[in-house]
Amino acid sequence: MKSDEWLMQRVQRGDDGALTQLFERYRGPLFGFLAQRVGDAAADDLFQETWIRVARARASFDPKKRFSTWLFQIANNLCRDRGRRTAVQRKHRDNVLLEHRNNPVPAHTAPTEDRLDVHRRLAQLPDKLREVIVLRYYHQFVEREIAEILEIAPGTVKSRLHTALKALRGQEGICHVE
Amino acid sequence: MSNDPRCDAVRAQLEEAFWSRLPLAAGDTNHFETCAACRTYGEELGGLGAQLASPEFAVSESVSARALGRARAALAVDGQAPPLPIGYGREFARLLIAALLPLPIVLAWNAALFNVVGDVLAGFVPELLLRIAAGGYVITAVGWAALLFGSIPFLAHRRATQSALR
Repeated sequence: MKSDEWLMQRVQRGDDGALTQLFERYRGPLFGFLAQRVGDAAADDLFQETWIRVARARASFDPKKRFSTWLFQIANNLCRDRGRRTAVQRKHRDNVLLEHRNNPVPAHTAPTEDRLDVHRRLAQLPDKLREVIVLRYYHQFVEREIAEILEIAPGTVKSRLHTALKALRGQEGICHVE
Repeated sequence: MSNDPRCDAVRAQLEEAFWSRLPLAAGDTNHFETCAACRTYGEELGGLGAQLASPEFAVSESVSARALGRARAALAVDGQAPPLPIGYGREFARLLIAALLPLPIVLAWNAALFNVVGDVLAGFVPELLLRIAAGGYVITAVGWAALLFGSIPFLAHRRATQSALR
């Protein structure tokens, strides 16, 4: 199987077959990331916008770096832009929570209310903490990659993860995030 | 964190396993088995992991098809990759102007410096030595200018790449 970076180099030369392959590989994870950040409905638009930017900004991709990091960096920047534009982002996330209230919970997981509590806590976290959780926990990026995606220092990622974990455990009221 | 460094080490391992979604395990099993606080912490993280089970988000086929179609259309606009990132020209011009603006002042300052220092030193420094010093100064100045102006294309590329991602 060809690497993402090899395919992206083909995209840089205008190969839309390579773009389709990358799209197929990343459509699930990317949509999941966007939906977790901004909610299902808004994720549709950002999902499309991300891929358009991948095509338009293909010349700026550095093949020495990981494609996934670059892709999520674009997506995260779009989420941030959207967050700045609209004040109703939190409302969307609450809607997502309400949607998931009705979803069946697999037998091996904790009771629904506990699960909702954690998801509610996650939804209520400041954007800076939620983005590190989504990238680290749900998408399994390592700290160095998260730092690259978010354009912050690895030490800041570490400290945000620490704060985020405390907040998820309900141990800390989040007033200020570095 | 606790006061016991073994607790800190074990909890750091537990947290790493939690974030990596691996079965929670501590390297120092002896300590883990005997420390009730660490065991409780491990159980708490395990419970948290179960509660955080990933909600299923699926992109619809219609959105998927539209996104791919629009991305392919964007790719087809110019077929080949542009040799330089979007906005490169603008960044290049901006940096070039920023570098050229102070140039007259720098040149005037250097000319004045040459005259003043040359006059002062002419009284007691041999002319040959003065010429060598002046030549060295000019070479250094030209080197700095080359470094400054030579870095502009690279800086412009970097700045254009970063803004293209936004």
